[in-house]
Parts: sequence; C-alpha cells; structure tokens
Amino acid sequence: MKKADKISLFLLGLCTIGILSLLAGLYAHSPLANQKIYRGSFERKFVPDNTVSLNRVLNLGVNSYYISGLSNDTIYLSNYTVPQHLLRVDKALKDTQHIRIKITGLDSVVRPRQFRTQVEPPYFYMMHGIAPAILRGKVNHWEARRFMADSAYYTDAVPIDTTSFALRYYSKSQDSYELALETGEAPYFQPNYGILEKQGEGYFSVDGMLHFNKALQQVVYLYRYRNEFMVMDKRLNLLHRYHTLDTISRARIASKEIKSENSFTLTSPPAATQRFSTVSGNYLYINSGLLARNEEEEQFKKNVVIDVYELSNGEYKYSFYLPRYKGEGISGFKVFGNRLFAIHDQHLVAYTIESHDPIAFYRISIPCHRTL
Amino acid sequence: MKPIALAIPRIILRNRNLILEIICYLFIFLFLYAAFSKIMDVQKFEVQMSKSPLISGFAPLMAWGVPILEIIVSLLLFIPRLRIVGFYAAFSLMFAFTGYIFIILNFSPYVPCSCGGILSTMGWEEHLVFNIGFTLLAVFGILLNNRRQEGAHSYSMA
Repeated sequence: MKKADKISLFLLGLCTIGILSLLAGLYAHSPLANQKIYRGSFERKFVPDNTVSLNRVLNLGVNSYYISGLSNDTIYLSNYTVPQHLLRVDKALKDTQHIRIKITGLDSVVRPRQFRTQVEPPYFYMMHGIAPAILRGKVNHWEARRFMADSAYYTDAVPIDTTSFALRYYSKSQDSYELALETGEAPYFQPNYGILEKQGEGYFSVDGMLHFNKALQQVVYLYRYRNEFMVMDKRLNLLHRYHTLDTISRARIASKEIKSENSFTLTSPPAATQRFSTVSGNYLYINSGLLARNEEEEQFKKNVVIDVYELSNGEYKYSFYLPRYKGEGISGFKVFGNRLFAIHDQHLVAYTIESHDPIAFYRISIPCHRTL
Repeated sequence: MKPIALAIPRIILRNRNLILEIICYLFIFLFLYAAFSKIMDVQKFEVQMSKSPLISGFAPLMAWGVPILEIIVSLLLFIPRLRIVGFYAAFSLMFAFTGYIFIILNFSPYVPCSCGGILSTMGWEEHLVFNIGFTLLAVFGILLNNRRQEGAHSYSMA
C-alpha cells in the first residue's frame, strides 16, 4: 500500500471515530437512550377472571387495513390506500370476500386516500373531509353516491343515523376544531362550540376520537392528550363530561408554527394519553399510553392495555391486557359484545373477553334503542 | 504481510484531474443546494429539527449551524489548496448524516422529517443509500487525490 494511502486511511479512521463518538454522545444525551414511559399516579384494576383469550388470526398481507364495520356475523375491513376495496370476513375469520365499491356521481377526488369507510348495515358510508363528500350506499349493492347536500369541510365524521352525521371540523371563527351536526334537512350544518375546550392552540389540545354509540344513541368524543371524554345526545347536546383514570388534565404537547406554510406541528413527542378507543354497548374501551402506579413496566411493554369505562355514568370498570402479536401493538380495535377484534400490523386478531360478569355482556349484546 | 494495493483502474487514473474536479463540484453542488434550501426557510427547518428525538435540544443552534457548515465545506472544496481538507470534512459530514439516519431508522419510535428541497421527497431508506454513496465518494476522492495523473494529457481545470 502506498504511504499516502496509509496516511489517508488513518485520517479517515480518525474522522470516523470522531463522528461516531459525536453520534454516540448525541444518542446518550437524547431521550432515545433512556425512554421512560410516563407513570401516572393512578391505579388500574386487573380482575383476574377478566382475561382475554386469542381465538383466531387472519393474515391480511398488508398493514393498511382498518376495521370499518362490525355486525352480528361479519367484520368489514377497509383499506387506507385503496378506498374502493372492502374485505368482508366472517366472525370465525375463515371466509373472506373481496368487494369492490363503485363510486358514482363524484367526478374526481383530490386525495382518494382521505376516504374513510364505515359500514353500518343496511348502509355503508364513505366520508371524505377534503372533497368534501359523504357518500352512502347499500350493503350488498356496494354502490356509493352522494345523497345529501353536504358541503362542509371536516376532519372526522361518524354517522349517527342514515341522514345525520357528527363532524369534527376546523372553525375559522373559533380558531379551533369544533364539533358540528350535519343533517339532510335544514339547518343542514349546526356547530356546537360548547363541547371542545381548547388549551392554548385549537388543534392538538382538542384533538381526539369521535364515536357514535348505537346502544345508547350517544355521541362520544375522547381527547387524545388529556383525561376527559364527553358524552352527547344525537343532537350533539352535551350530556356529561367524564374523566379517565389518569390525571393529565392539561394536554402536554409542544407545538410550533411553521410560518411559511401557515401550519402547526407537534414538536416533542406528546405523552400519548389515549391512543385508540372504541365504543360498544354501554362501554368505552381505551388503549392508554400511560403506565399505572401498580403496573410493571415490562408487562406494560409486552402488552397493549385496554381500560374499560361505563358510558352511562363515566365510571372506570377495569383493565385488561392484549398481548402484542408477533411483537406488534395495535393500530385499531373494535368490540362487539364479548368479542374484540384488533389490527396488529398486518394481522387481524380475534379475541374473546372472558367476563367474570356474564350478565354485563348479555346486557350489552342486545342493543337497546333509547329514545331521547 | 503482503501490501494491499488499492488498485484504481487505469482509465480513471488517466482522467484523474477531471474526475477529481467532478467529484468536488458534485459535493459543492450538493452542499450548497442543501444549505440554501435550509436557509430559505430556516424557521421551518428549526421546527422540523426540534421534532427529531436525537437533536431536539440543539435545534436552534443546528438550524443555522448545519447550513453554515455545509457552506464552509463547499468553500474548502472550491479552493484547490484546501481541497484535501474539504474532502475529509465532506466525508465526516456525510458520515454524520448517514449515522444520524441510521439511528433514526433503527432506534427512534417515530421517524421525523427534516431535509430540504428535492431531498425531502426521498424516503429514509433511499436517503440512507444516497448518503452512503456520497460518503464512499469522498473516500474515493481522497484516494484518487493521492495518485498522479497518468498519460500525456495533464491538465487542470482549476
């Protein structure tokens, strides 16, 4: 080897060592090296008999599916990347049927991936908040079309009944996300500014998950970064504000504005208070990101914790663990009676919640349509 | 021990000067482009860096520091006498970027984004390959710089 090359390689080695130690220093200094899960000062109730058993797994092949509907005997899965595609699976996760939805009366859609499908037999809905459009079609016919005068832009929508929807949208006058009711008849669009309460900026502090509970005929909104959920009636009148277990009443988020784009972004990763949630029967199921005082961190990391709240009185009932499947946590889940379905990356996993109180599940498996 | 010959093909050695110039200008173009696309919207760049778990604490410092460093390295590469220093600096910078991406891809629970201009359209894996390529190019430049131009057409563009 030439002498000059030897010197060069030696200098390159020095540079490499220098940069490596710099990176190692950055890493040691960063929160990556000592990731701490926030431990709250609350306790979870794990009822021993209330365990969950895994029934069956269906490999979906890709991780872009989400559960768009559950009925007595069927699970509907939609795909984020191909909105016209629908997968129908029986409850035993044995038979699958691929369905192609025909979209009519909509010339072009700017960002088709914005479509979110929800199947509520006898209808299914396809919602696109930027188009904006709400399409409806009949299950088994699978043709989606516009059916009401919808013109409001929104960020989230859930069907309440066949002609009214709860929307979350950005209100310019309030400079914040707000909830609104969109209906097929006058007044078509009716905001209710009294539900979401912003803390500082009006995006992240009020961010959350919107649900409609068929059994109680109530709209539920759960904040993502704080310990509160609201229960509303079908007209979006506030009935109750309830608190989740943890004590984070103020959203712990750091957001900054990107001035040139006139947009806001989260800077530090926020304390993911509530990650995913679903409503079923009288219950609200929340996958929380916070560690309880009586929980072991190792256990917490190996499992996905689900907290169960009673919607009629806001009371915390108990918690249970879903084990990670092949190391994957969940990207969404839904409950029907005592069956729980979760998407673990590219797998749909069916669980049974073994109840110590069979009457409770008997009660919730029969939808009771209350009139308000 | 047998001496290891870092053999470089004849055709390259014959065009040594030209190839060195091309490598230099590739780096200068890359660094200046990256630096100015960051400086054009330095506020956005700072916000994006503060999202990265690895460097969030240094975001205000690095928002200006990184583009200025890139400009300095470009200057070093541009001045013939300092070119060799520039090559080592370019190697270190590209190696640091590569290592940074590697850590983000492998250890971060989420992947933030903070690259400027056209580079932001690249995925993180593509970016990793791109950076490794440029890091190796710097090594190649240094080794080529140790060689003499072969053949009759000795010329210099600088």
